[in-house]
Amino acid sequence: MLDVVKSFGKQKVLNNVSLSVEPGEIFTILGPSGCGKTTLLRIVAGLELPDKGTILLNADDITKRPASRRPINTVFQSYALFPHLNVFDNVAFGLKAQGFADDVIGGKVYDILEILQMTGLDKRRPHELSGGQKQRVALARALVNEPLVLLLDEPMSALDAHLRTQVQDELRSLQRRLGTTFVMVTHDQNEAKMLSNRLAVMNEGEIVQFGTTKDVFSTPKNKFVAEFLGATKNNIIDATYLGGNKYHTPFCDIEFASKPSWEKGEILIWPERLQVSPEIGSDGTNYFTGEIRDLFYNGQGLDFMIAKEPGASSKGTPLSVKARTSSEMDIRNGQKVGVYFPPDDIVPLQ
Amino acid sequence: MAETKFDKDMAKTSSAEPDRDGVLADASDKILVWRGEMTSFKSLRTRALALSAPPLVWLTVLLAIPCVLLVGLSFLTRGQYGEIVYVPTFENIKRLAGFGLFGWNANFVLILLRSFVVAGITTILCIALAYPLTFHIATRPGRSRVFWLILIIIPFWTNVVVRAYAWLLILGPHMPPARLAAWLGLINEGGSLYPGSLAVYLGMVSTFLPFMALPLYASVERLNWEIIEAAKDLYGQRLQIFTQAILPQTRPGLAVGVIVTFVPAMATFVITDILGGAKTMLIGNLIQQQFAQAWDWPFGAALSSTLMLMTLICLAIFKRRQDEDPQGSILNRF
Amino acid sequence: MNHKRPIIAATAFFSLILLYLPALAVGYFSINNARYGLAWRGFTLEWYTKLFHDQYIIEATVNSLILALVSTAISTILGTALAIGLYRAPWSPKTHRFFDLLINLPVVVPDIIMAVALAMAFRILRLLSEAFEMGMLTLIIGHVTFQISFVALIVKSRLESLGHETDEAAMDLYASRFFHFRRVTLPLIMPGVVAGGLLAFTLSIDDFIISFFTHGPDSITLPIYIYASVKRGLTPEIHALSTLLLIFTAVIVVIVERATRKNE
Repeated sequence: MLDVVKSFGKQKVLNNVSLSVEPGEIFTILGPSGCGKTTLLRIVAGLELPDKGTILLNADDITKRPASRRPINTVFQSYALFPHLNVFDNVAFGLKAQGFADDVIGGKVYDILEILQMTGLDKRRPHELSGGQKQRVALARALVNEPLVLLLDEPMSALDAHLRTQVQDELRSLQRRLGTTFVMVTHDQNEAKMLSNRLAVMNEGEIVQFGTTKDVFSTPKNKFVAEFLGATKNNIIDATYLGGNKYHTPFCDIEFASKPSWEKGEILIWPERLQVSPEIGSDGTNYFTGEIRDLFYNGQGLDFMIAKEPGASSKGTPLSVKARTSSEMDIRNGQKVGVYFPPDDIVPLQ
Repeated sequence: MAETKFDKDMAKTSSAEPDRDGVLADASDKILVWRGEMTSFKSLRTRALALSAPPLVWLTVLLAIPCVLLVGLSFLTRGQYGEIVYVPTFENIKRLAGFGLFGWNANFVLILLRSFVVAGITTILCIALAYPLTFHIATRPGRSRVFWLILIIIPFWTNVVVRAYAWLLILGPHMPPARLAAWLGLINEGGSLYPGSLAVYLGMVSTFLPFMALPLYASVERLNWEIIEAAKDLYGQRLQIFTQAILPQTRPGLAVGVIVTFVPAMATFVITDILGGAKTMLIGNLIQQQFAQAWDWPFGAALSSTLMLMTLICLAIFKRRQDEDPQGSILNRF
Repeated sequence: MNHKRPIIAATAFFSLILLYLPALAVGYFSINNARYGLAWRGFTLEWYTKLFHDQYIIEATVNSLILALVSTAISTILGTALAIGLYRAPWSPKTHRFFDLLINLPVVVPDIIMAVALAMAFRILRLLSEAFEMGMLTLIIGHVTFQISFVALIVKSRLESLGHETDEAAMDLYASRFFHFRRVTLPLIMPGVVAGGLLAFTLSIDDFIISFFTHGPDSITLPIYIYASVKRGLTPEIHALSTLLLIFTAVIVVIVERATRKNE
């Protein structure tokens, strides 16, 4: 299945956006609030009309089709459950609207409720449900219609933090089980990382970068994408061309695997890509020694800053870069370590 | 596939470029998605019109047009037997202004003025009572509050005739209030407290208090008490606390209350009819007289038109002041 | 608010007494076993039972009920349609403000003006058809006229509290226009429609002024009957009748208020 969208929105909410989604994948549109991602989703759903452009579903042009005739269903951010109907009737709504017989409806509804572990809740009303339960009802209500594409608008935003990981896991396994194409919209890069096969990063109505999650995350195209995906200022480092293959950074001179097109710019090194070792060597290309500061355990491993001494950044604080390692590493605050920049992992930013 | 109207309209939508053409495609044909439905402005509006046309027509034919005709009727003459003679005249207006058969008589103008005054005094009395009442309710805990509100709302809906004549009972000759007044020498022995201003005002205030209290309560409920506490620190006198801290915050509700009290009070008929006499005649009573007894439709129409004008003036003043809270009608409670 | 001025509470209670003293007085005299006078002569329901034997009162009651039921039915439908037509369509802001004005007008305009206008309208319509002689029909038409606006306002506020996401969800789930209206819009505004209907019913039962100007000799309503009695001479039976009317209205209002609060 392919969705190809190319549209101008009113007031340039969307500016010539073009996307293609593969069947059976989870595709995420990631971006800050106001970037147009929700509008894009609504256009695919049929809830808004693009000024220009087409939406193709499996080579069918559905641009002119109203939402009620698109085999696409939406899970709204606020779930939009029908308050006057119980869970069963909420879930059955789409089936009833399509004219299925009651016994068929019964079977399908109970099946999906079971898949979503909601059996027994069918008689409840929305106001009697918890946030997580409401989300499942919204999912059930959409999925019971076996749509070709399921659209999710910020699915985790209304949930408590501790539920999110669990829901993420469940969504992943649900999608794998059903095989439905999911298209998700979010501003949470973590969510995008955990759930999606491919993603697109949007900003101010335009798609800035897209590709598989792995590709986009490991090699963000520019500073905006890098920062949006979680890179902090410390890991975006100025680099200047020296000559030959070498570039100068405040930490050390580096050599890239993929040379940038500029002579002066910024590079990104993800914290977990820095190779840190308690054994100290001598400074050289892609290598410097520094001191560990602000070490703490982040739940899975260690996060810390490595300060290069001497060397101050413009703010008077020690020049540092953030690093992350597994918890097995035995290091402590104040310890001197050697830091290596693997050439393959240095990402030039445009 | 044949090109449908939808396709044509979609084409219009997609290709509308005002800069190039200078003229946009007809906006009403424009396709839009409205609350999830893909349709055109025209289609939506036609549907809406189909629904709202019958009631609108009803209201126009039975309310709007007759009101306009009333104004016209004011300028016609009354025939000898009460029929309408289609001879235009200013007679009715002149009569209103006091130029009667026997020279200038301020009677009718007095009645008009009295309507204003009575309505005004009623409104002020209602305000005086409504503020403490609403404050008291606002300080009640949840259930008690609901209880009080329901108690205030019920009289709002009950029959005016019953509530008015009940005061006849209360103010009757052998009842305590009248006895007390007689003992104090205010009235004759065995007399009653009606008809008279006291009776009328008692009837008016007891009828219109809910009209004032309910909208006011809507504002009082949302009061920011901190501002009042701060005012208490700043100002010594209670009056200043009121005008600086309470009045500004309650202005929206107060405004609605005033309008909903003053206008009907001005036009009241039943209360003054039952509890008042010749000395407390209001414009409502005068109008009723023309239609029920004197059978002078043109004059009655002139009076009604005047009342309409007075109402419109009050509403215009109200609209001018209503820049703050567009709370509109009491019925927003529902 | 931690300090409670006793004077505020006292004034509040005074206001309450002012509001209910009339009702209590009427109630008292309706059960007092005396034709006149203040003194208590024992409890009796004689006046109430007498009501059931009074020809005119029964006729007036029947008239009032039929009038209220028919006019409420018509005005609820028309008022709801008006609200939906006005507030469920993309009108321009200017048109919207015009509609707001129109719908609020009957509420603010004094009822005596409405009554006179209706009398005028019927006088003209009588030239077209005999049917518009003052009678039940004119009463019904008159009542519907002031009820429509009222029902429309209540339904309107209910409509406005419904977000557009629910509608979008319904469309996303393959609902046709009719399905959506019947299964989503209608059920969700129904509480407002019912509240509007019940209150319109109350307005009709308790209306005096409009009825006074639009009734005929054979179509006396309860409030008109009571008014006539006030002029003729009050009897305890009238007090009993009035008390019943008050209680009836109070009960309906309480039901509507409690039902509305539960929905919140």
